[in-house]
Amino acid sequence: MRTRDENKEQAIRQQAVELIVKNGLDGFSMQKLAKAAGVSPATLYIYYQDKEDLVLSLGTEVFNKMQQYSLKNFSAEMSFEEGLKVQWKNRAAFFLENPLEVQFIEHLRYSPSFKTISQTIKNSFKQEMGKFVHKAILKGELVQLPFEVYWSVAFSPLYQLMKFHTQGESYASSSFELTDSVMDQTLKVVLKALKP
Amino acid sequence: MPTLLQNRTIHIFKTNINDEPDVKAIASSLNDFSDILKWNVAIDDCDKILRIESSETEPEGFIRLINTLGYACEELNF
Repeated sequence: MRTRDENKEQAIRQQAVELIVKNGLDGFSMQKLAKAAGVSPATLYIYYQDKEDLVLSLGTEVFNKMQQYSLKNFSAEMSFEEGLKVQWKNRAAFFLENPLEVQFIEHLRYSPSFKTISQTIKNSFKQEMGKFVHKAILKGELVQLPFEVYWSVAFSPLYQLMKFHTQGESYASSSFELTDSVMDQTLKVVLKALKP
Repeated sequence: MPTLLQNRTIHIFKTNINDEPDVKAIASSLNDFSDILKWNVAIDDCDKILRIESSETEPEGFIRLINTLGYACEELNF
């Protein structure tokens, strides 16, 4: 009988993420993964029912990792200004330290698997962020808005800056880097916009 | 070679169960087979992988069942 080898399994999962980033979800198959990882397809099917099962498992892991990272040094008790600053710093750090995982999530975002993943991921993140926002509104630190409007103003500017950073350029300049000062400058504008 | 995972034996077969209608055609027989705890066919795989979780450690009974249903079935080696 075979025994489960955790290191090997982790190496195969990492390889799967790399392949999906390189070839997209449609270009990814269990056969290609087996070849790249130097194992037989049968070995992969021992642990995963099919490609969908593997992608769901990878996606859930990456999402949980990302959300855990985003809650580092963060508390729902923080003032809105302080808390949003921690969120921006954490999200930017995760993005810069894990470019592969971030691209992987982008591949998933518009796939049918995404809905299943967002239903299975831990709710602690949503709860903590929800508490933070509600407290901020009660304390008069944050204007009350529909969720999508709030999120678009609070976080989309950061994600757009990260996109420019990945591209290494923007519409206006041939080189762009996301620095702390650029982030602080943008955050200031965002905080101002969200004040009641 | 069957693999034991959490007290179940996982059997991996290469088949020609090609599409959803084929899967539907074998579904009730596999669902009714008392030794089978869980099964699925990865029809997006070129080997049309049939994966069976079972208390049964030997693959021959499953191969015979799939053959009887009119499909090719061979154990996929590691």
